Amino acid sequence: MINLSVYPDVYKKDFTQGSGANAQNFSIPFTYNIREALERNLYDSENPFDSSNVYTVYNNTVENTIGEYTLLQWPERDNFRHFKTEVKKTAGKKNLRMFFGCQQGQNPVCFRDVFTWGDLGRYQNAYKESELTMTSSIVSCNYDGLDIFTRNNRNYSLISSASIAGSIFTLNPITKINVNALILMPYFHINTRRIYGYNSETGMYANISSITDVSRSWSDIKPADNTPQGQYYDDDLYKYGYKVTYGEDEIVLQWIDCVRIIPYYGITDTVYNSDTDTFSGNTKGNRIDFCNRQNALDDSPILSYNQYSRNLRYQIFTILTEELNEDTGNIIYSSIPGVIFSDLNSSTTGDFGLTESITINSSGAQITQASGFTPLTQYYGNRTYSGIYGKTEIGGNPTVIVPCVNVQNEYTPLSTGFTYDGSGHFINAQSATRYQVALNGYFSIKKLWSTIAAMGFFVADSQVCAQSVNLSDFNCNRLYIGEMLTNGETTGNMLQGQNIANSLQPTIDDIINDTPVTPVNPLHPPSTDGIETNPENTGENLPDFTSIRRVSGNAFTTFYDIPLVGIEEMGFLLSQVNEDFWTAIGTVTDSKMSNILDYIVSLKWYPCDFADGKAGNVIQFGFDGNGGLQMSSGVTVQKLNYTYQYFDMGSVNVPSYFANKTFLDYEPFTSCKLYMPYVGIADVPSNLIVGYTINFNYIVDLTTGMCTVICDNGHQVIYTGTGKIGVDITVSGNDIVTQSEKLAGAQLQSKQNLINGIAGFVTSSAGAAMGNVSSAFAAATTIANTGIQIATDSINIADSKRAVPQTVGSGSGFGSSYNPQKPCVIIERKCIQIPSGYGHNTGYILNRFVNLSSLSGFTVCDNPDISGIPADSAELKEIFSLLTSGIYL
Amino acid sequence: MNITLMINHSDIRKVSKTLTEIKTVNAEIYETCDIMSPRLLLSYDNMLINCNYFYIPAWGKYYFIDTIDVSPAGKMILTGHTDVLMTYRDYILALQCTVSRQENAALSLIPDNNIIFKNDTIKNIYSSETTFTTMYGAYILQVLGGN
Repeated sequence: MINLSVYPDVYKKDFTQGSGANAQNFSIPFTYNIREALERNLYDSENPFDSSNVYTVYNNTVENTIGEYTLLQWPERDNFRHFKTEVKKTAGKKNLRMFFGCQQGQNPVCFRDVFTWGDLGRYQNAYKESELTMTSSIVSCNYDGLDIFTRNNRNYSLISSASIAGSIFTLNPITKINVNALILMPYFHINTRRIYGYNSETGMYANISSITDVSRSWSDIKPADNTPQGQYYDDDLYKYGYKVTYGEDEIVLQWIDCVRIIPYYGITDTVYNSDTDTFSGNTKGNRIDFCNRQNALDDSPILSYNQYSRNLRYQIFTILTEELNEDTGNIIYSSIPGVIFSDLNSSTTGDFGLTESITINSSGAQITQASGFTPLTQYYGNRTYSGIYGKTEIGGNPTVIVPCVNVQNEYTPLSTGFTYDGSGHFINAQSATRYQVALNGYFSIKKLWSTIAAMGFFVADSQVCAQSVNLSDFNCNRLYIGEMLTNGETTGNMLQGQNIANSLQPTIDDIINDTPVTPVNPLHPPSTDGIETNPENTGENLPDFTSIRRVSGNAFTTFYDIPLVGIEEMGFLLSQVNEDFWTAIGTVTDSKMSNILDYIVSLKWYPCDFADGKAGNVIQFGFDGNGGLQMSSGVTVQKLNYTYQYFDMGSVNVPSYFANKTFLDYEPFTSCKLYMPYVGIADVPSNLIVGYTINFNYIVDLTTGMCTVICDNGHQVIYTGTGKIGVDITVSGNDIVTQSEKLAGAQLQSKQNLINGIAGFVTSSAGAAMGNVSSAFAAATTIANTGIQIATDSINIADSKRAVPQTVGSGSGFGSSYNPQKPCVIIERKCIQIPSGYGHNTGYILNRFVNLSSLSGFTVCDNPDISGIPADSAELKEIFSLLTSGIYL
Repeated sequence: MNITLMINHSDIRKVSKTLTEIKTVNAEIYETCDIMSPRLLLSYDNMLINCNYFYIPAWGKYYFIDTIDVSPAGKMILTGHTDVLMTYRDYILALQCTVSRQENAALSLIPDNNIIFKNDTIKNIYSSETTFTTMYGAYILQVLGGN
C-alpha cells in the first residue's frame, strides 16, 4: 500500500512567454543528494533531447543551488501527525517550500489555501525570511498528516475553514540544515510537466496551442548518464496484494504497481508564429504505462496513456486487476485497469476546491460487478486530497483499496491567463515546470518508494502507518528511511526495519544540535586521517599567586628591611657596644635586656628588593606592653608585613624553531632546560616548552631564606624547585660564644666581650673571605667599618666566592649572587641536514589513507591493496613493488 | 600488429608519463616471448633508434624498450618490458591506500628517521627580562618582638 507524493516543483521563471514580460528567475531548491536522486527522474522539459542541458537552467546551475536552507520548524519525529515545516533557501530568490499536513483521521490534504501570496510577485527579487514565516494569521491549521507542497510566488487561498483548528504553525527559526536532511515525506507525488513550446528563433517560450498525436520512440529520450536503465524486477512484487474475504469468498487482490513515464512522447517540432504569437506543431505529452511486474518484464503494459497536454490530469492509476475466490477459483471481480482522471478545464476559480467533481474515465479503473455482488464505487481516491492513498483496513468490502501512484500532469492553459499546477493551486500561466518526471523503465511502487527514501525522506507504507508509527520503533518494517550521515546528508541508500535499528542513524536532534553520532569501535581507534596537528591542550594547572596566604608579621618576630644607611647606623651602633653601651643607649637597665643578642633572630642578605612593607619604622627589640621591655635602636628601616615574598621573574616565549612545529622541535631532536637563579638547572620535556610562554615565579620564605620557583607554560606547572636565596649572616648566642672562645681564648663573661663577639661574627660571616678576620677585633671601629663594608659592597662580598663558581644545581650563599640572575630557557637542537630534493626523492612522512589521485609527486605506499587491478601476477608484483618503493604521481 | 614507438621523457617511476609519439609501425612477435617482456621484429628505421618506449594497442600495454637489436637483414628487434604504472595508471590512481611518504603532503609531527643529523647542535637561550640582583640587595633583620 503505497502513498507517495512529491512535487519536484521546480519552476522556471526566467523565460519570457509570448509578450516577453514577466521574466523570472529560477532556482532549483534541492541540495545535492536530492538532486542526484531526482536526476534519475527529471528531464529538462525544454530541452528534452539534449542531455547536456539537463539540470542546467539558464544562469543558475544546479550546483549553484546547493546551499543551506533554513528550517523554520522541525517536525516531530515520533509522530507524523504533528509535524510541520517549511523550508527556504537561505540565500537566493526562490525557494523550496514545503508544508506537511493532513487532518487527523483523514487522508492527507494539501495544506493549501492558507496563505495568500497575491502580492508576492513584488518580492521576487527580495525574498525575505518573513515572507516564509507564517504568522499568527495563518497559525490556525491543524493538519497532522503528511503532504508536501513546494510553492513559489503562488496564490494560496483557504481551502476550508473546517480544516483550520489549532495552531501548529508556530514557526521559530531553529537551525540551518541541508534541505535533504529534514524532510519527512511519506507521500510522494510525481508531477509531470506543463508543456510549453519553444521558439528556437526567439528563444522564447509559450504555451503550445496545437497538439496532435505524433509518436516518438523512447530511445529519443536521452537520460542523464546516471539514469538507471532497465526494468524493475523484484521478487517481492507480488506481495503487493491483499487477501480479503468477502462473504464466504477469499479474494486476492492484485493490482498494477509498475509505472513507466516516458516524457515527451510524441513531441515534434513546434513552430512559433510571430505574427500571431502562437505556437503550432505536433505534440503529444507524456506517455504513461502501467502494468504489474510480469507485464513489466514482458514490456507489455496493461495500460498506456498518451497524456495530452490539455486538461488532463492523471489522478490514479490501476486498482484491481483481478479478484479471485481461491476456494472456487472463480473470478469474483474483474476490473479494467485504468486511470481515473479529472478534466479540470472547467475550473476557473483559481482553486480546485473540494466541491469539484471527479470524473471517472470510461476506461478507468472501475471494478466490474461480478455476478451477485454490488458494484463498488469508492475504490478510488479523491484528487482533492492531493494524492490518492491506500488504506490498509481491508474490511469485508474492499471499497477503499487504492494502491496508487498519483501521476499528475501539469495543467496547460491555452487561451486562459491562468493555469494550475499539479497540486491544484492557482499559478500563473507564465510559469512552467521545467522538469518533469521520467521513469525510463518500469518502476514499481516499491522502487519509487525506496527512491524517495534514498533521497532522505521517511516513507511509510500507508497513511495509517505514516500517521501512527513511531519512528523510534525501528522494528517496524513499514518504514523506509533514507540512510543519513551525521552531517545530515543522505547516502542514497535506503534502510528498512531492523536495518534502521542496526545503523547508527543520527537523530534529527543530533543534527540540529550539531552533535553527530560517530560510531567508534573501542577496539579500533578512529583513524586520524585528516588530522594534521595534535589536538589543542585543554585545561589548566596553574598556581594562583594572588591567593597565596602570606603570613602577616607574626606575634613573635618582626622583619626589617634595613637600608644601606641603616646598616651603617647599625654598624656604628654595634661599634659602640662596650661597657658603656647600655649607658650610651640610655634606655635599658633591666637585666632582661642584658643580652641584646637574644632578640636578634636572624640577619639575611637577599639579592632583591622588597616592595612589601612600610617605611619609616625604627628597629625595635623586645616586646612592648605590660612588663615588657623594648629597646629602640634608633635605626630607621622598613618593616615588612609578610614572611613570604612573591617575585614575578618574568616570562620567556619559546617559539618553534621549525615552522609550525615539527617533530624536530621535540625530543630527542630538541632538548630543553630551565635555568632558575638560586635553584639551578633542570631538564624539562620540550613538548612542554616549545611553542609556549614559560613563566617564572618565585616565592621567598624570609624565615628560612629559601626560595621556591614555580614554572608554568600557561597551561600547567612544568617545574617546581627550591633553593637557598637568602644569605645568612648568623647572629646567635651560641655562635657568638664559639667565636668569642676562638678569638679571645677564654670564656667571655662580660658584655664587652659579648658585643665584640657579635661584631666579630658579623665580620666573619660577611667578610671572612676578605681576609680581615684576624684584625676584626682589633678595634671597635674596625668592626664598624666591616659592617659598612658589608652594606656598601655586596658585590665584593660575592666576589669572594668567585673561586668556587656553581654552574649546575642550586646555589647558595653570596656565590649564587654572581650567577646569572635572569631565569632562562636553554634549547639545544640537533643540526639537520636535509637536501633540497628530499621531498622529491625521499618524501616526507604522511601516513594517511588517501586516494592516490589526490596526490602529486613522489609517493610511497605502505602495503597497498592492489586487488582491483586487472593485471597478471607478475605485473601485480611489480606494481606492488613500485608502490612500496616509491612512484611519482 | 601495430605498435607505436615513442620517447618517454619521464622517470620510469612516473605513473602518467610524458610521451612523444614517433611512429606507428607494423611489428611481428619475435619468437615466443613473455607478454611482459616481448620481443618484436620490425623493419629497420632510423627514426626509431632513439625511441625508448612503445605501446601495443592490441594489448593495451605500454613498454619500456630495453634493447634494440639490429640485424643485417634490415630488421630491428625490440626487447621491452611492461610499464605497469602507465598501463594500469587508471587503476593505480584510483587506489586508496596508506601513503607513508609523500612529496607534497606531510604530517610534520611524525618523526622522520630518514633525516640526517649533523654531529652538532644549536643552542638558543631565551632569557627573561627580569633580574634578581639589584645594586645592593636587601638586608632583612628578623628580631624578636619588634613592632
